[in-house]
Amino acid sequence: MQAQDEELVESVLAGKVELFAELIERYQGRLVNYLYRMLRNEEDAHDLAQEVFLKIYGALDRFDPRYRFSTWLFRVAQNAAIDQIRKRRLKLVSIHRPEDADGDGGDWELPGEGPTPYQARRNVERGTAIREAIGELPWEYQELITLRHYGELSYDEIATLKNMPLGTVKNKLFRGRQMLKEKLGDFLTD
Amino acid sequence: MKTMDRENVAEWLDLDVDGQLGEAERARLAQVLAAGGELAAERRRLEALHADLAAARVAVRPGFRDAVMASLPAPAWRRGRSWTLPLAMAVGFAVAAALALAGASAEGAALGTGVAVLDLLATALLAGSGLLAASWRGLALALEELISASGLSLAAMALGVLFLNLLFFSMLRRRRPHDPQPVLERAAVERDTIERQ
Repeated sequence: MQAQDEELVESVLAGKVELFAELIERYQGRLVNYLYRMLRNEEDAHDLAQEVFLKIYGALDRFDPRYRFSTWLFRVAQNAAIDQIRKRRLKLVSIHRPEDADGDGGDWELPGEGPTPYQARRNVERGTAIREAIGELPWEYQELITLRHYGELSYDEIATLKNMPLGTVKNKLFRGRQMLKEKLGDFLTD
Repeated sequence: MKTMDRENVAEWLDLDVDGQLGEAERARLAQVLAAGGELAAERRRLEALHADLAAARVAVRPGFRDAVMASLPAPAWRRGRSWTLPLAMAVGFAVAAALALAGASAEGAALGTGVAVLDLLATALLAGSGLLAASWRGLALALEELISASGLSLAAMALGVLFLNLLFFSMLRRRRPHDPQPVLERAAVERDTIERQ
């Protein structure tokens, strides 16, 4: 049977430091994706995720086992992302290439694995459309969608993290997805 | 959750696609869905949205976990509490006391020395409390003079005491936990502004 997060924390504190790797394994994908949606830069998201894990490790003895490890982790990540957004001037590279002297513009050719150029382009367009659609949502919806679909937190965990009633979380996620559906329209997978 | 009807069936559908319904609720939803093709189309669109959101996830770079493990510092909770300094101080004090007693014993006056030290401490304590009492007495006299001067002075003083108490209470009051929501919103606005530049 898989150990609970809280049991792993206890074991790490008792000296089995190698078990911290298990916690990283469980949360690395969710944390990187959550931070990626916040920072909109993959490299920054990885760097910050590493910092968050180190911060968590350093403060492990202050973890209150009455609460879930996941909500603690994402709270730390949320604060770290805010600091990051303020500290750094995000350098974003547009996928849209400016026109050159010959009037030859268009999109950068992005490497793809497997799919045809048409599919690859379609995937890039869809990825961009999703990113933009999420970015256009009112902030409270944007945040809950990110926590649910990229942080992969449960409704209960989101309710705890955001200090919201469970019913409100359900309702806001529903409305957020409705808005996304409308915004994405034709981009939704057939 | 409310009972299922035509009004909120979309909400139920959304919860179902997100895996939030129990067996009984799913069975009831299936009955409603069987009635109309429009809802089945809505369900497909929702499933497509979930699939697209999932497809937009990024992969964690290889070796990320090992890189984090390799850079773990030695945290304070692993070092344990250091007793070196308190122990050194206690030993130093014991040695000094032993030396003082040994020196005094050599002259045959160990007990006398101890009594003298205690006497010194008692005198210092007495002098200190005397000074404190005198200070408070002086303050009390000044206040008494001020209060008895007029009714207005008394009222002003009462008001002053009230404000002082309120100040202490406000300082002692437990602060509410910081709500990060406005900060998050501001950060999102800043990020969007930067991106647009």
